[in-house]
Amino acid sequence: MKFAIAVHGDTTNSESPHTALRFARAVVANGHQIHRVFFYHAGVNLADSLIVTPQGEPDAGDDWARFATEHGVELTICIAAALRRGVLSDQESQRYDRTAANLKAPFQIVGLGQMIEAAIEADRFVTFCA
Amino acid sequence: MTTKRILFLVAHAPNRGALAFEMLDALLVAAVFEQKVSVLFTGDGVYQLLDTGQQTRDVARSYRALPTYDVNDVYVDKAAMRQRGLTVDALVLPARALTRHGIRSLIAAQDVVVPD
Repeated sequence: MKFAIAVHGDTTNSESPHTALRFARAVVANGHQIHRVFFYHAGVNLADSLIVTPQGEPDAGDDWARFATEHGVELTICIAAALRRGVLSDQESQRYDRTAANLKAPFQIVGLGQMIEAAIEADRFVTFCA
Repeated sequence: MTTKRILFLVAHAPNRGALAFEMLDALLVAAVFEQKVSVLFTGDGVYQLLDTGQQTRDVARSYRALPTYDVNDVYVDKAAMRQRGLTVDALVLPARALTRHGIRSLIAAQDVVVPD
């Protein structure tokens, strides 16, 4: 079965990125596919490479990045939500004349249409609210 | 493109930062993708359809534009409305009030449910 996953919370305010990652691991472990993971609302903060997590605490952004690289899963963040929260690719940083870019690899900045496309294309669309 | 029945489930109060507007954005994109979009307001989410006239940027006024996007399936949780002393006349959009049973049937009829 083809799953799409939406993550609405960030690490500082919510368990949602951790819970969603456990779910994603279970999806893969059971032989299913992940069509796309879409980070929306505060979830886009997972792609912020400037976040420094205290030692001994799980870094959900890094954990997601590792999982995605291992399993070839597409990690996407909403461009409007990302701009609002200061998560910028090189391209967006230049476009808005900012001093830095902080998008963590392999997260990609995409439009909200990619979330709806995922909801349409996947067999199951599962949201992890904040 | 496949057409799916997508229900947006709004359960949060309007004054929680960008959440309300971002949810509405997602709903409108689904409508532009010509999906069968409906929206249900439950819990404090029902406040999103009240035009208080107090905030400079009020999500209720944006929701008023839904019919322009051919989104006419707007529902509110009857119990949530009653608990807050609200009637459908007070809302910015024509909305159908659903009982718990009606909500169950609505959700069961969907392909996708997107909560806020």
